[in-house]
Amino acid sequence: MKIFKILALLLTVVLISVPASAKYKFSLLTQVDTSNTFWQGIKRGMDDACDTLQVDCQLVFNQENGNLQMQLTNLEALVEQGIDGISLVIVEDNMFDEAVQNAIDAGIPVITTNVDDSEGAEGNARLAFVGQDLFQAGYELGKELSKSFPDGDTHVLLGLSAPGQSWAEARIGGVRKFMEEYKAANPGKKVTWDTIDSGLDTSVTGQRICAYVQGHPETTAYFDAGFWGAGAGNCLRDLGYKPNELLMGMFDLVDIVMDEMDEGYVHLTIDQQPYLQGYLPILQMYLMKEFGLSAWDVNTGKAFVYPSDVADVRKYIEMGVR
Amino acid sequence: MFNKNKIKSLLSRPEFSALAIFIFLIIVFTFLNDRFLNSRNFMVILSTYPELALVALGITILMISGEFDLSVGSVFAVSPIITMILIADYEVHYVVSILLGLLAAAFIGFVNAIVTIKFKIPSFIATLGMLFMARSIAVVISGGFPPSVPKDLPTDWLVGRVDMLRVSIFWLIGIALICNYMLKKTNFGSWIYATGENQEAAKDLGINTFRVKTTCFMICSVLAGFAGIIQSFRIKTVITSLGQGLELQAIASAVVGGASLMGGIGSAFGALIGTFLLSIIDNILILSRIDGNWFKFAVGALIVIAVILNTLTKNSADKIRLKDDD
Repeated sequence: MKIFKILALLLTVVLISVPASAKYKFSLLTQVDTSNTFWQGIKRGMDDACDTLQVDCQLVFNQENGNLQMQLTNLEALVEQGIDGISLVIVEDNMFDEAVQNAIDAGIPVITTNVDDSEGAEGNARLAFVGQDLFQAGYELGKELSKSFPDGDTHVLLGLSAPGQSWAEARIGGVRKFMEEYKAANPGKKVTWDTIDSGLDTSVTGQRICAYVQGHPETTAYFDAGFWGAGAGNCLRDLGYKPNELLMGMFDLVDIVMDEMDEGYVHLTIDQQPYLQGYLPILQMYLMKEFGLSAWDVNTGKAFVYPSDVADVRKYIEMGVR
Repeated sequence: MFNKNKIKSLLSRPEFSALAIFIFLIIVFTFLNDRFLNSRNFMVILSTYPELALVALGITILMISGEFDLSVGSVFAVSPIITMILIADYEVHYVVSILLGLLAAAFIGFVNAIVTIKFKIPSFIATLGMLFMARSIAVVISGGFPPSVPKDLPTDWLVGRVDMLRVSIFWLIGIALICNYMLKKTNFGSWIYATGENQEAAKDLGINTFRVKTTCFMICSVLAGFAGIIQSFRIKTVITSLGQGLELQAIASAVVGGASLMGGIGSAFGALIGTFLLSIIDNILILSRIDGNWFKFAVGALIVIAVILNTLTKNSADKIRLKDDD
């Protein structure tokens, strides 16, 4: 009986601590679990927007990383509850079509964030997308880093962090598209590339990159679909690689990327500004509900960050907004 | 007769097939890729090896006692996050911080043991719950953004370089030798095997199986936490996703190294061999330029082959024994 009393007391404390009901309730659904560092930046943006607008928000993480059925079930439950607005990530083109249509039919605005249906508005009834054009970002990453490719033959390693997941396929697909164009534009050079499953863990990815480049020392550059490639800095130094000897380009701003930029082992990263991906969907849904305005697309991810930008960017990273 | 006994003894060792596959792959790949068997490649493999092997070692000891721990990947993150928060935010001495990080890991192991043994819940379920809880704790206590590893933190004693190797490999060797001694030469080691093989019979023999299993759970968690601290010191960063999915890799290493899912069988040497085999497989697939989309298939297939060979060699050893008995 004692344990029931304790549970009842805890429940009371929880209920008392729930804030008074806000005018609107919005939810943001992701396919990742809470341990994804990048998503903490999105959460920070969402929390700030909700504080500013005095609305009730919840970021619904998945219990199991990447379990899309779990995310779909959460979405359907929220639609059933009659929530005021939903923002979600769509990493699979067909799975969410019906549920999103049901939400729209029920008068619930839906805005995709971070990752969109690869066919955009053609493929899904969502009203707008706030995030990076992943394929284009990959293409731009390749194009920008290629300016530093040395003369002579070029061999590039592409790190597909999560084979089969649309965000990773799209980014690396963009880099690959650029490499095809680069090869066609440089008929006098031998231009080749390989794609590996680089993994979603800094240590694992680092080891795989180092294993590859020591086996294929002709490798000129490495492109990562995420930020995990920064984990290679450590073992590249162990292998005797000097700064700038292997060019590395990747995505997002996390500590280890900034550290390796300082060390000279990461040369370019693209910031997709996760804070905006949390903030803007909430703002848009609020404006739609409050003033009947319409949603609008925002490309949040065109910002190149070079080693010379690290000092400026660090202070924003420490604030949790980049 | 002498040769037959030798063969029987060799085949019946739990780590034999992993060792055989390991040697086979090394020979084949040395011919196929001239950059496989060179010191630089092994330097790459050995840099992460101690971290994985320590977790596999802990899992193996626990599996010998007849239990599982799916929370090791989360503990792998919790310990370094606690350690780094104490160092960076509270300016606690790094040795004390590490000890407190390991204490937290031991506590998680203790809770796993209590939930599993006292409430008679299968450890698979109890530690699955802890996998989620510990990962959540890692995120909550760090607010999603664990502090940076201080640049002046002394890390050489744990991960510094000694020529081609890292100091962490010596920590692994030392800990593995202690574990091997414990399993093979002490009463406690015998109690672990006895508990895993037949818990009721072990109780009848007067073995305190609760204490044995609780200690194994705690050893497993502490080794996972220590491995996480080593990795965070090596890569000089702590992120909340550290060690995600590591539990399956560690269990695979233990099983490939000959540990039985039913308990009572396994060895420290097997854990080391199993982990090394999986690391080598990963390395070979990268060097072979296996297409990214086929990578997990290849890793999975090789694990299955290793376990099948394990079973076949064990059956061969049993047949030789039966013939001898006839």
